[in-house]
Amino acid sequence: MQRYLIRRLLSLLGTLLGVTILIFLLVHLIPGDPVQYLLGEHPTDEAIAALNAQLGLDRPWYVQYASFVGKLLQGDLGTSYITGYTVWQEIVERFPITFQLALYSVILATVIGIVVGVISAVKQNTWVDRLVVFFSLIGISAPGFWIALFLIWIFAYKLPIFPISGYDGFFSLILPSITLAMGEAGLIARMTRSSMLDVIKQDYMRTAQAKGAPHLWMILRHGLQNAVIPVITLIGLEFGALLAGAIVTETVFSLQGLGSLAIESIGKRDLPTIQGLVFFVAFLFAITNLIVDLLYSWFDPRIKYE
Amino acid sequence: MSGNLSQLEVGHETHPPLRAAESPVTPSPSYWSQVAKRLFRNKTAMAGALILLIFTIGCVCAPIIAPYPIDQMNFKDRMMGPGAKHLLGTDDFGRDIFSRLLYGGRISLLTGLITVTVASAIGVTLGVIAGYYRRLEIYIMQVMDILLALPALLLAIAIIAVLGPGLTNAMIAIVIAVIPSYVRIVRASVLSIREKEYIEAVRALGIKDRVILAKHILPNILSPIIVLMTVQFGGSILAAAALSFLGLGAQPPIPEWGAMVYVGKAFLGQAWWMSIFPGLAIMLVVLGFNLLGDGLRDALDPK
Amino acid sequence: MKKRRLSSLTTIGLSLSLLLAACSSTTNTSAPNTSGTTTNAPAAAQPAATEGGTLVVAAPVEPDTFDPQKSTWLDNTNNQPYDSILSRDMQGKLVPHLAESWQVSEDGKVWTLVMRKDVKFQSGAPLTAESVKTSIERFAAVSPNKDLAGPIDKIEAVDAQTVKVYFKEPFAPFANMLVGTFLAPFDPERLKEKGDKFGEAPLATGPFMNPEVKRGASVTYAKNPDYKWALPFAENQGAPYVDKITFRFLKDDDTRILEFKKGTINILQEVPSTYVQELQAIPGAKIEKSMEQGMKYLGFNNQKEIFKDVRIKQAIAMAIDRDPIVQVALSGFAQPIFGPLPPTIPGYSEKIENMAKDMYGHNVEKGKQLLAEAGYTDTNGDGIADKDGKPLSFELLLPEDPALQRVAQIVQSQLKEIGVEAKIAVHDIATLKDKAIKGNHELFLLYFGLNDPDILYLLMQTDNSKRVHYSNPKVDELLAKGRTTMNEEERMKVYEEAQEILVKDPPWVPLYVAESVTATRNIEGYKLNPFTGDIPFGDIRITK
Repeated sequence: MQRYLIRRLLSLLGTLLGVTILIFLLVHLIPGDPVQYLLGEHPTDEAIAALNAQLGLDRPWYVQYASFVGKLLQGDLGTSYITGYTVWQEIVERFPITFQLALYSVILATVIGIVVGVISAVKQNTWVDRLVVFFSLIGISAPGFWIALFLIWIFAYKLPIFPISGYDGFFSLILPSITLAMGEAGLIARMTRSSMLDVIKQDYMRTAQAKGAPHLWMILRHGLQNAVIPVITLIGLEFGALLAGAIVTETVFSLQGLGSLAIESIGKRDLPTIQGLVFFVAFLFAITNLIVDLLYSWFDPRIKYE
Repeated sequence: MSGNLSQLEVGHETHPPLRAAESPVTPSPSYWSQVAKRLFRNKTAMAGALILLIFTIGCVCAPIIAPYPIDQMNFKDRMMGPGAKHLLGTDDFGRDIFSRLLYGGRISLLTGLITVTVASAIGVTLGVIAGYYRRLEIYIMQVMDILLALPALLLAIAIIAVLGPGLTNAMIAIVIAVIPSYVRIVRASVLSIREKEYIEAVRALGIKDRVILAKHILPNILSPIIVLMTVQFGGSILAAAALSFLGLGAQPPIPEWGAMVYVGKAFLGQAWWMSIFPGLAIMLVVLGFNLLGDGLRDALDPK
Repeated sequence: MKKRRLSSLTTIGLSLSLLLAACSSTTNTSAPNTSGTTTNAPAAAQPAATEGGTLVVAAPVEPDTFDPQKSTWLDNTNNQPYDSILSRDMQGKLVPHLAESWQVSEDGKVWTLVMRKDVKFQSGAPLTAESVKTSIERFAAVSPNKDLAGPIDKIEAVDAQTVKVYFKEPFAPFANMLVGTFLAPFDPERLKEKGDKFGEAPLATGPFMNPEVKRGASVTYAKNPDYKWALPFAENQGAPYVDKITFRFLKDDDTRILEFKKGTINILQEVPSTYVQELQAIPGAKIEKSMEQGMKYLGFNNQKEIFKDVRIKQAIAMAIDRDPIVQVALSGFAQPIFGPLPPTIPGYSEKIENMAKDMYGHNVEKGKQLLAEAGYTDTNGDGIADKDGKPLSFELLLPEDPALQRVAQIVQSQLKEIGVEAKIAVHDIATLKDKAIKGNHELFLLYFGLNDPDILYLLMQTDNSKRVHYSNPKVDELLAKGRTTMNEEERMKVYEEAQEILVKDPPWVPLYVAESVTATRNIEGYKLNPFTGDIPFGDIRITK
């Protein structure tokens, strides 16, 4: 186990190093000169040269890359060209909204998904089951931005209960969280259902039944125990992806989270913010994936690692 | 969604793992006819196929069915609600939404087709190489791990930032973003077959790798690829629509469905039909592919 | 703010437009009361206006600094501590403000400013010629916009009240530099103490002082109780009626609208046109429209061989029908424009506007005919005119902006009517600028803004023309002359002449002057000077 952990961490480091190269490459290939953007229309040549020097853009690319990675190693994500704040500060400012969104939607999706999935497995091949299967597929198939607009149309325009968009406390995160939860709930319900069905079909369930244990209790105990691994994986991966920025949802609801920060900084050619943020997101994503894998083994000691 | 792309990504991983066909030798024609039979008996698959058939016919025959030209502006009929004159209403320029949806479907379906074809061609090739030639595996998988380290939608957005917005570039971005999922699945399938005794036997006979790959390995990993392609078809459409919705994909006046929702968003309070109907169309088509994918999975891999 | 900055057109403009303090200026007309909705705030129910209280303004852009010499963006949010040296009245005429009089020498190289004697800094120290000199010198040394002040040679404080500014070359646009607060005099003691960091604790002569900044959220000023030299067009020449003024920087439109509805905002700037009706219905709310000091235009890359044939450009101009653009794409919140300058920039001429309107009124037949004369007709029946097998097809570049995207689609369909194909390509502004500067463009939709006709020099003069890449020696000559002609009347004549050429040999197709919408609630005394962008906040009283 320990060896496995070390190996995973090493490979994670390798991947993250690769990510820095990818990000650096992409960011520097983005057309449009950030200096031009900052100085406006008629900058003098001296002004351009001065700003280039100030931002360190006059250095050769490998020096710029080395400086980017060097700073990362010291935990410095860079400093925004536009606001003058460190990228870390920018992220800290935006993180709470994204985190809350991810948290609420995952909780919502998990509760709905598991409950519905269990019911549908227990009632396999009844109309309840079919309904659940159908609606989970709808949830998975519907574009998030469309669910969002639909919810806004119903609950903000037709029945003015919720704000149309913008952040104004917990209340304004309800619709976005539901939006995000829809697809996840569908996935979780499907996972739960199929895992439960596998279990129900297995022999020891019949054995348990023969022993006369109460039917529902038994299904829940054995079924959930076995469903828990794939569902945990799914939740973990989704949570990681959500933390990485629910870009579309944040855009529709005008929420100032990490996703909208990414879009804005690309639009403004704020190279340090793009680099730092994308790296942060990749880091977060990788860490959650690792945790999910570790949880796996915790929940199911049968899983062995080479 | 953390980007529909990443939902997608997770989506396929969470389906029960697809096993390569268990048959020890190349599946025979009768295997495929069995599959077809099972598929036709599968209600889910048929429901999906029906949805897709209706949409395909509608889009192919758009010039015949569409009651109005798609780009003809008619300011007098601005933002008319759904009704007899305009089945699904009109947009802010008085253009008929139904007609635009029909033509837009051509773009969406074509986008899905092209991205799936290109991504699977590249992804399967890389996956087979990674699975069969262990020497190259580490390099290929390292690159895939790097691509997978970023949420797919974020990666796609970054790629579009480099290439510039537009439908073609959005498609390129989607292809790059989804390739790793093909590589992973194909590699895993190839690995499992590679270790099988009969492959070793064939190799011992001195048959060339090329022949082994074409005759023995590819046919056996076809099932998971087909299922993945089906699901990804819908997924690519969803992803392209999401990018267009963010203003990075197809640009107005192109009646791409995601772009139509994007335009309609500004008028949600006044003309809900501008965004709700195109979104519904996306959902139905993606639903069609998901249903078909589910059915295919059952038909290809009966338990 | 970040988001709005990105999407808001104002920022994409020339950095020069920043000069202008808000590109929005007003014609001070209330929106037509279409449905009688505003009457639900009847005069009888109007509570009496009171003095004191805090005036809350929702501004779209958070300033980067409160030092006008360091800032690239000056507007009402960060110019409150300052006063301009000159101003314009509500008709656009140049009038004194901190200077009681000014004079330009015969050769146009020496400006003499005589400052008022009764003006005091917020510290209580009197305004001196020396402090004016120091401020202008500092601007010329450190500002990112220093070029806009022109070729200043030296500055002299002749006596306690008189300042002389010497130029190497005559530079007429200097008047409009004096109208803004870029050259506002700073408190010399504070400047000495703070130096580079003056923006952290600015002290000058303006109506409000001591900004308290909450980054990312707001800035609050206290009134200057000793103020009695308000803008010449202000009703209240003394200290502001309100005790404090707060500018809030709300990041997205929906939040801003929400707050306004809640009643927590008195003045809401830059209201999206789609919300106007909704806001009008709120009791105590008023809608103010103001025309921008600039315009949106369809530009040509005049370097391209195809656009060297003036007939092509003229045909395209005639294909454009501005009515649907204004009515449909902008919900009526704009004025069509045909000539090179909008009515809000000095130098606008009705004669030129009418001439342009006559020449380029919507006329599809004439447009087609001009194309045919240039050799372009539709020979293969695909609806696109062609010549030697080459179709008249262009890429139409535009920034990511919903309104411009709507405009682009209308333009596209109108161009199609004369057989010109326009392929819409949306880019973010950084890419767009890059393409324009490098000349990798054909047709594009953009806008400009400035408070001086010198904008034409900056857009059209051969060496400066980085958008349309226009070059016309006669125009160059006239625009250079405009910079050095000191007599206002003569100067405007020069611009009229230049504009005439710009109409006949057009570098672009002017489309419309946007009207920015401001909603006010529970206040009285609001007005905006269309020629300076100033709102005399000292005039405003809160009614509730």
